[in-house]
Amino acid sequence: MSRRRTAGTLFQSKEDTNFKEALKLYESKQYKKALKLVDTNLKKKSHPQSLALKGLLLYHIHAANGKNEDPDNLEPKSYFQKALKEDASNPVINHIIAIFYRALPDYTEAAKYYKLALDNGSENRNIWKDLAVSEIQLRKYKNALAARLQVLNYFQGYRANWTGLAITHHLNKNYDQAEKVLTGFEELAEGKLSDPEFVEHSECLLYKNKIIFESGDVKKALKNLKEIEKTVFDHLSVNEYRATYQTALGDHKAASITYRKLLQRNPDKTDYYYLLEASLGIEQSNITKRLKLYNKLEKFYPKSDPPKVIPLMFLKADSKEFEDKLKNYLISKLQRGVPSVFKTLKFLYKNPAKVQVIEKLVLEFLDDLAQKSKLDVDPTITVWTLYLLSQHYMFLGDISKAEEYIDKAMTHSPTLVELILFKANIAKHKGQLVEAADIVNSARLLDLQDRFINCKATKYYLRADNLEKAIEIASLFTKNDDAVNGLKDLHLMQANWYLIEESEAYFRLFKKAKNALINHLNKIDSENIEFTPELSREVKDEIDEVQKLKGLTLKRFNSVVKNYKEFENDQLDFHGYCPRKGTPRAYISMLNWADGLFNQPLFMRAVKGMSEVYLSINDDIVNREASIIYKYSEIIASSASKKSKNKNKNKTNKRREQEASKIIAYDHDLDVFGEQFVNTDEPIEKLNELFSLTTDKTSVFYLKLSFLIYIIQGKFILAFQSLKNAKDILVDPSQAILPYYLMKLVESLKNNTDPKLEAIKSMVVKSISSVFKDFNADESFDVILTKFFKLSEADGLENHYFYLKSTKLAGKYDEAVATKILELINKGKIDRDLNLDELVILKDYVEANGSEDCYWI
Amino acid sequence: MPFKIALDDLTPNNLGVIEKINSVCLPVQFDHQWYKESLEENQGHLVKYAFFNELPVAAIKARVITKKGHASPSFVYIDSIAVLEAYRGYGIGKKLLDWLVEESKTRFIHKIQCHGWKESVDWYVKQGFTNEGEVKGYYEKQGLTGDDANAALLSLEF
Ligand SMILES: CC(C)(COP(=O)(O)OP(=O)(O)OC[C@H]1O[C@@H](n2cnc3c(N)ncnc32)[C@H](O)[C@@H]1OP(=O)(O)O)[C@@H](O)C(=O)NCCC(=O)NCCS
Repeated sequence: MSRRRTAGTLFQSKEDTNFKEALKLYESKQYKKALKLVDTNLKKKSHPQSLALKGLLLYHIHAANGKNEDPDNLEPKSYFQKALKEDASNPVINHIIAIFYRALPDYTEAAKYYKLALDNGSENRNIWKDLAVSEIQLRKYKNALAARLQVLNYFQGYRANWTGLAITHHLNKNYDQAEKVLTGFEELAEGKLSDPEFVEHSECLLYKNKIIFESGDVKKALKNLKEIEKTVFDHLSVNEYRATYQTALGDHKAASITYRKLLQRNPDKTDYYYLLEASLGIEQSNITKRLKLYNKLEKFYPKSDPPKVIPLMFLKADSKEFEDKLKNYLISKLQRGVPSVFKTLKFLYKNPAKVQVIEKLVLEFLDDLAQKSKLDVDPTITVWTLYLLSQHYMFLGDISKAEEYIDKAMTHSPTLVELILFKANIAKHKGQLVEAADIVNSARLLDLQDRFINCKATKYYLRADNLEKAIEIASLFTKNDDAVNGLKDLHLMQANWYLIEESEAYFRLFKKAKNALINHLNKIDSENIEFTPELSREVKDEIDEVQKLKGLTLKRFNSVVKNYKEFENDQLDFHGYCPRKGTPRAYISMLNWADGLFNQPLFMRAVKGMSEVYLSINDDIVNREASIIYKYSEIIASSASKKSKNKNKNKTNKRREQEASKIIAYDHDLDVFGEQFVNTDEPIEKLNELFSLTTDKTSVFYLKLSFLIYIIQGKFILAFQSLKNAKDILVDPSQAILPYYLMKLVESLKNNTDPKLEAIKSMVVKSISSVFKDFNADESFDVILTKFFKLSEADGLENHYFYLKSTKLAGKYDEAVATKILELINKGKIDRDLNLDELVILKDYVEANGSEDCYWI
Repeated sequence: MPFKIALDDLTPNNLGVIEKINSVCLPVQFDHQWYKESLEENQGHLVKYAFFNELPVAAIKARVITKKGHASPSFVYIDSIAVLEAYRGYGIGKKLLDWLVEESKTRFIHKIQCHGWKESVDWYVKQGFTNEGEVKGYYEKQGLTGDDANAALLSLEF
């Protein structure tokens, strides 16, 4: 922070002295003391700088007690407004506000105020650095460049600033400029580098080389590589770059020599083998030549897997070479009792003929073992062979055989944890989640020290909706301090795997409780059951439970979202740190990672879950009058006397307090039950906010969700656009969901009475018929569906699933298809394309006769 | 074929292993508490695992018994010894017993005692125990039917 005054003042006022002192205290994190000084300043007359500092200090004081989590807490901002009102162009005030926004974090605002501070004449040159960092965080590379140019201008003596500028040029794709800046420093430093600086130097040289390559001048990059080779420590990169450049330049002979060098360094890296083949110009179809090459390589690197495994891919399944090579590989692995054989051979399972050869060989091998006299055989070989067979049959979807072999293996070696875990996996695939969890737990009891099994058991219990057991087990490995369990620690440690599973469990429990409640109320309603005070209390408890589960669902999902935002935020330090440490290449790859952060599957799971809940909250708001839950909530609210209300409240409060201690997520958590999420009047705005974080706008999920949001918002053109895009990327059988959405669109168009939208609506109607030629809104749904999608007897689970989903979405439920699905599941015919979660949900859903809502939107 | 057989200690974290091994090898079932007691220190519990190629496959559990009124230990009693069926005959049981003999000797105990079915007592006899004959009602007391137990005794020489 600037302690410099804009104008030199000889006579400092008392206020200014206090303010300076307060700033010092702020910097040493003594916020309360600083606040006292600032308050003295503000007691008598106005001192705008103190007002601004007060805002910042309050923010930090609130941070210690969780008050900042409260979105209604606008106190700090109100002081900034006052300060700005009195002296908007004061650079110190601007700077203080920028610091606040950076801590918040809101980088757009932070950048704005840093810039204002500079524009208003702040001479604190460090602000340029902070501005650059904020702009990079915002991915506004152009603005960042302007700032970094200033930084270098002011602080030329540090390599970090040269590297930082080069990086910023690079991010702006100004390759020449980036190179020039790096060369500029190299020339300055020529002959002046000390020993410890050489690692950084080496990295920067390689970085420059990469930039030259990216600029498109491959020849120059190759030449440069030769020049820097002696100075660079990372020989692996040098050779990898060289091989790439040689290949790009068409010098395949040279490239092949480089790849051979690389293979010598690391003969276990599969990529090198393929790249070597390519550089040797061997055609993929020329099996004889490839085999010769790999036979040679196998002799060179007898201990490495790739030269043994790759030929299994290209050799024909019915060839003798294939069988021989497979046999050698398989048997040598089994004889050494390597548990991971299946994993390495999995890639062969795309080819059914090869799968048969594997099966034959392994069964033969097992037979041979049985023939030998017992003491000549290592029993662990037998057990790993049985394990392999179980995995093999499981992969083929033959669950009963898989079970047969895993049971044999477990009888043979009941203390072998891998077997037990696989047994649990099979149970999970059969949808027996409770059994599966207990099986994993039995493995956990064999080794309580093993964190991996502990996590597995936790996860399995979460899948089985047994939250209590899950947290009990997880808490054995967390830091619990004064808490009753490890939940707070799991939040603190950002254990997303736990949080997402728990969110989804809450979500399932919420849906289950809600359905039970609706069924209960419908029964009361239709059978005219007398609504006695006891029944009223019972129903109220059920309603409260549903609300609680809904809140916790959103709360937990949101903690995942929060963690991802924190990951994003964590980049901040690296914008400055990496140029300083001289690791620009790692830094660039970190930026790429961060760019894809909000598309990561785990994050998307949170978005999916939250979006469903928010959409259902929106439904509840829109259809309030028709909702039976609402009806009874009203009855209960009006009938309860004030006295009993208070009494009940006290009772529930006590119960809640007890419960809160088990599910509290953060220290100073002001909203343990997530009520803040549930009680929103603007679910769609909340959803949009969340949704705007995802940057991959081409996934089916994204399109579906955006469609639903647009419909609610009456943005019909955009809704149509989403469907059109979805049509392009959806392949059969998932196209079966399109008719439903089209019908939904047509329906919303019909229901919309806004005269201003007439022109738009008729345009959308026209577009529908031109893009979806098979779709005619006047035809019945069944007819439309068959046009889009034909289901045949022989189709697999996934096809049936989509079909059923589509009919269900349209308010129908196809019994015949449902029966077929159950039959397929029970037979163990598991579709590879359908992931396990979906399968389990599907089974529940079908078994409940479709009464439960579809999981997917 | 050379196999790697190693011995290791009982810890609170691997208590489930001996429970598992015994539950599949022995006709008598003991409750969790019975196993837990062997973790108590200074109570004369002697428990050891045997590993076959890193896999726990066998366990022996014994106790130092001091008769009432005696100052020094009277004998070592074997509660259980069990090797998973697939791993029998490789010398693992013998290795565990050898360990127990050494442990007894360091405590200057001269006798190891046990009870077992006729068949397992054959094994004990092969290891140098003498069959002390049937003990009427020994298994009946544990709720088991079938033949009576045999007592076996090993006298240690120093
Ligand atoms: C009894 C038991 C512990 C033996 O374990 P093991 O590891 O197979 O035994 P070893 O390999 O060390 O056997 C050592 C010797 O005894 C012989 N032997 C093995 N089982 C035998 C039996 N049932 N009867 C007689 N001799 C036997 C072996 O051939 C070997 O002879 P060698 O030294 O000449 O080579 C095992 O069979 C077992 O767990 N049985 C079930 C449980 C039980 O009965 N426990 C005892 C009561 S608590």
